[in-house]
Amino acid sequence: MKMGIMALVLIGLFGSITGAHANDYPQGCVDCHVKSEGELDFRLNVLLKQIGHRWIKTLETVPDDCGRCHEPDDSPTLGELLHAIHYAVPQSNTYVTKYDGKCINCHEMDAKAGEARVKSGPTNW
Amino acid sequence: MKEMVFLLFVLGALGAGVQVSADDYPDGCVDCHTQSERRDFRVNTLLAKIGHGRGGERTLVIPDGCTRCHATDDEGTAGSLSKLIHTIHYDGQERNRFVKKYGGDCLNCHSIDGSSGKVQTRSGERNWSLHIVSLN
Repeated sequence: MKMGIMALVLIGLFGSITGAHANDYPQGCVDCHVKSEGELDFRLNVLLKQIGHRWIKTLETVPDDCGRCHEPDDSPTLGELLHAIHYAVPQSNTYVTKYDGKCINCHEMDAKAGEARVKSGPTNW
Repeated sequence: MKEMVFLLFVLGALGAGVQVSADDYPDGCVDCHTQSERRDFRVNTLLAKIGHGRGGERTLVIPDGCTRCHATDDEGTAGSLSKLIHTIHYDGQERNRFVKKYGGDCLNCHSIDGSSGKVQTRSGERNWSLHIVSLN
C-alpha cells in the first residue's frame, strides 16, 4: 500500500490532467480526474487500481466515502495524503504548475459560517 | 517503514520540502496588514476600531497568540478565530477586498508542507510597538 502511495505521488508529479486552465470544479476530485478522448484516463478508479487499492467499487461519492476507511486520526490523514500528492515538489507537480495549486479547486468556503469544506461528487466510473 | 524512508528521500532529493506558492506574505496577517502613508491597516489599528484593544496590547505573535482566547477547538473564552477570519475575508464576495484584490488565495494566509501534507497558518511577530496604557 505504501508503495502505492509513492506511485500516486509520482503520478501526481508527472501526470497529465485535461482542462488545465479551467478553475471551476464544483464537485472536486471527479470534475478534474476525468477521461477525455485521446487523453490519459485520469479517473480515480484507474489511478487507484494501478496502486492496488481495494474497495474502489464500493465508493459512490468521492472523497466523502473515502472517510469510511480513512479515519480522522490516521497518520497521515487522507487530507495530508492528498495534499502531499498534489503539492510535493511544487516545481514539477502538475497540480501546482498547471492548476496554480489553487485550494478552491478542491475546497469551497462557506463565508457565512466561516468554514472551508471539501468538495465532493458522485463517482464518474 | 523502508518505503516511507525511501519516499522521503526521493521527495527530499527533488526538493519537496519547498513551501508551496510564491511567498509574498510569508508571515501572513502582519505582511498584508501594514501601515502606509495613505492609511494604517495594521491589525492592532483595526482591532482598536472595534473595541478589541487588549488583543493588540497583549499579543506578540499574530495570529498564534490570538488562540489564547480564540481557541482553535472553539472551546476558548472567545469564539473560533478561524471561522471569524474566514467570514471577514470571504463574506460578500463581490465586494470583499480580500477576494477582489488578493484573489481570495488561501495560500496568502496558509502554507502547505508538500512533504508531510500538513497545512499551517502563517504567523509572524506583530508590526506595532507596545502602547503604554495609562493608569490614570
